[in-house]
Amino acid sequence: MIDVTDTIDRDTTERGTEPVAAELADRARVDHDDDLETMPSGIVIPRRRFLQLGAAAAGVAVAAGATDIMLPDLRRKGFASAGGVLDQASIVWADSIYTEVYPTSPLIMSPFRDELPIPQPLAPCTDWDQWAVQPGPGLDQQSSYGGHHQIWPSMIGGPDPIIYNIKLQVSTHAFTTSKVLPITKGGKPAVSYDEKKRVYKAGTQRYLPKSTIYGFNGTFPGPMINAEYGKPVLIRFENELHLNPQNLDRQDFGAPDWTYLTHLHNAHTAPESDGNPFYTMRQSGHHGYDPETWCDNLYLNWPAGGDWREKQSFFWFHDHRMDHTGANVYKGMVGLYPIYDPQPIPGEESRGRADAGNELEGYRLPGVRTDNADGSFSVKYDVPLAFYDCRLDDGVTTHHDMHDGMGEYPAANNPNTHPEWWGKTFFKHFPNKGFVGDIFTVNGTAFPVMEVKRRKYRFRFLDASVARIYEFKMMSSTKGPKSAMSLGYSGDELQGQYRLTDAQQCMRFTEVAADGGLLQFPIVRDSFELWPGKRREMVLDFTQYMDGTPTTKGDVIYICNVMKMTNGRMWNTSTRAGLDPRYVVPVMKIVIGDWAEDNSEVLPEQRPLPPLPSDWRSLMDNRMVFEVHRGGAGGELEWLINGEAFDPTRPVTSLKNPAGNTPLAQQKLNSYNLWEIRNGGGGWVHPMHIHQEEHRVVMRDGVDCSSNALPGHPDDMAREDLIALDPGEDVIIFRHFRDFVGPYVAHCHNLAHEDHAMMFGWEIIP
Amino acid sequence: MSAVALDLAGHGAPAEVVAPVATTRRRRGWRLSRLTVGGLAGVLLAADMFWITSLHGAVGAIGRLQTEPVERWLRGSLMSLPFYVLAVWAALRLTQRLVGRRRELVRLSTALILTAILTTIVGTGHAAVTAYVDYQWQADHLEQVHTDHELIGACVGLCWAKQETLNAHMKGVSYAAVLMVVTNLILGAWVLALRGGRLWQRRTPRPVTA
Repeated sequence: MIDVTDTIDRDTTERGTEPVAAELADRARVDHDDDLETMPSGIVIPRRRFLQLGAAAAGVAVAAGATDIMLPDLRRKGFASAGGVLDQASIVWADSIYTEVYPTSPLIMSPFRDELPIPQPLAPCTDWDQWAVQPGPGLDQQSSYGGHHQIWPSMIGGPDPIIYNIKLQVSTHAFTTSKVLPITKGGKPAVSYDEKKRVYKAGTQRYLPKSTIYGFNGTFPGPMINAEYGKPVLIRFENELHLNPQNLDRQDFGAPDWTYLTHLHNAHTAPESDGNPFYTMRQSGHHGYDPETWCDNLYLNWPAGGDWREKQSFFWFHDHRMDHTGANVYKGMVGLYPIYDPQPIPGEESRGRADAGNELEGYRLPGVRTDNADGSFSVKYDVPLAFYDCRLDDGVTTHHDMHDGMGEYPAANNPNTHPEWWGKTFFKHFPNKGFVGDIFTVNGTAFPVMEVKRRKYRFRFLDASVARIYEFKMMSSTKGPKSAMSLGYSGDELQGQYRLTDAQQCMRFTEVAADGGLLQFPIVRDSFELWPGKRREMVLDFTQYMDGTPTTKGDVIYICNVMKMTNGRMWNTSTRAGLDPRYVVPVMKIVIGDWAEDNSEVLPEQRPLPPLPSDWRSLMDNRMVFEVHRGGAGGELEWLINGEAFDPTRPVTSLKNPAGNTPLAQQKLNSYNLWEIRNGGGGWVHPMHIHQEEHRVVMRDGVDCSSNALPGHPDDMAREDLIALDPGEDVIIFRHFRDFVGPYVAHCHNLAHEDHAMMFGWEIIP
Repeated sequence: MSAVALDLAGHGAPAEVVAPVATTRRRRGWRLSRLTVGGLAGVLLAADMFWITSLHGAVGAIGRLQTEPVERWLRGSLMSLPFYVLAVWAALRLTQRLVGRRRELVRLSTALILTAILTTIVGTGHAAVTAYVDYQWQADHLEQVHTDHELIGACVGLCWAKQETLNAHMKGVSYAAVLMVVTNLILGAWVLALRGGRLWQRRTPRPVTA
């Protein structure tokens, strides 16, 4: 207790007779209880009380207002809790502290003029018998770093593999043939530059320079291999990235040592052919395969456990070089690998081959097969669509990320601007915001157009983006695309470049396959989300609209993206989170053509799901637990799993499970188990990918979904290799660990996160 | 009035003017309002810890972030509570000394500013100390992961990564200090208003036996 009396008394004793008056004056000043507020009605309220009531009312009003304004947004992002509010504030901090700046790409002036490139199947190699080291099962026959294939096809009764040769090469790529208009972030005409840094005044329309790529066989996307179950494939990848015959500027991204590591996502593959850094670092001590080295990836094209129900239908191969996966994939290391099933459906052999690309047999999916003379085969009306978003340099945005200080690109002298790279692909490591582009491409082309026959098609959707999630809808429009700039948009609203202002949904998708292959029961969908790394196969019937009206020749339909995602953290708007009706971005134009014969059919039931073992629930207590965390280090956000950054020398340790154990992430060969993956905290979504086999989601946020999928997650009834983790979500998956032993990885397929440590090693042990 | 005069006279009067034995003399005076001190300390502490806890979520070491944010906020608040109470007490005491006899508005403004400054100093100190601890953790972590990077310049590789980590912390602490002083001013004014502007309160009279 503080006694004020002393002070006053000291004062009074010093002043003699004055203190009385002074003391009275003090009391008058310190004690205002007698001050009154008189209301017009004559009610008298003490001033202190008035102040208190006012403050209380203001506090309530501010709290109510803030809750009203912020709660819906917080709820959408998974922040509707006390901890969530703190997490949201952390995001604001991260944005203010970590500099992650994007350029605005120039506006493509003539969209939907370039035809959609449809990759042609790669022909097998015919001169492999002349290679110095030939493919084979022996020691040191797997790669330049030695090693051998732990299972050669003959060991499982299979034929010798079909051999392909793919070279990693420096080359160029053009995203469009259209002229472009350089624009600012504000949507106004901007100056531009050329390779010699000459300045072009604002408003000048130009052609884009070609971007430098590191591509499989020097193309983007790279080759497509049409494979078949029962016919193993061996691809010899050779690194020629040290060669630069066109003397191209390599810019400031991509593995600085020109190494690569190719992963076939998500084939059932032995670790030596899996293309994962846990194996490569352990086996050879290398981050990837150096220039002038080779690596034979053997893809047995054999379902896990030999179980026909585990067959899949669409893989893709991409780079997986530690710390630079995102950069290498973005720089062009993408290839396609549809896999067909030429074997009959067990028990229904009379129906013919299950999924051989011939719509007259098996599951009758759209496709007309042609066997080519070069040993490959093509399938008409079966079209892969690889979506990839990019950003083009504006010449004035500073290139800055944590790799600038690592001595990796000394010639770039970053942080720096690069007018000489105007119009070429821009990339930096942005683990906080994730990297999203503002130009959406399909099969390497921006705003492509495709003429289709009036019949059904099988479209194989693949998200090959670094971080962007899409939500696709089939829409029609009478007014056609308008540039976002002309509509008055600016900043992040310019992403996608064009909008449909009068779009109406006109068709539905019939989903026939997910990551893990054919669905048991096709799903009719108005729209679907596509997360990075995920594949979804849709049958579209171009003979009629969803209301039954027949299409006519010349009709135009757009595949549109309706998910706004201004940074790589999570969506801003979507069907699940609430759509922005103005955000309808046409990505690909489809023009209805002539009639064509159609013998395909969407069957009500396709390949059955392998059943879960009856005792799967008994595994709950001793399951593996992995949780995503974030922290700061090196001047950027770092992503970790179970509190650890990726360590390529050892498997990670599980968090404590209900049984009280913290096992190493090791699984015995031919066992099965439950793994729990937790998204620790709100604000970020994480597409978590696990190598080697597919899994089934059995619980989501504590709810059993093994028999019925939860609303918003219909694909939980399929097999997948990539878990779409919403903010704060918690998923338990069931999977097997069959056929191969050795090290594998699991990681976030937001490649900005993967490269900033969100990966862990695990292994199958004998 | 006469009672007041007697009181004053009694306190400083010569020794012979002493109240008779067994006569009760009422000691009347003012003390800092506990509610005001507690309210200011509690509210400003909660707000400052919100900024510091959320800052940790952006730049903090992973070791710190293993616990839930609310738990971190509570822990930080409990640790800092005595310092905040002390800071508020000191601010009000100083107000008393400097402008105890001035108009109420002057007293309140001074109290508010001094409270905001002193609590911000405490909060910034907390942020700086935790940043230092986190930096040590992070530097250890960087040393483990950067062993394979070759140093080729004045400060690249590990040196550069550590410098960037430090820069991030310094940025964070300085931004937090600004946020805290602004928040403390606003919330301090609100708490004072809730208290009706009452900084001190009359001491409850109690018998004092001479």
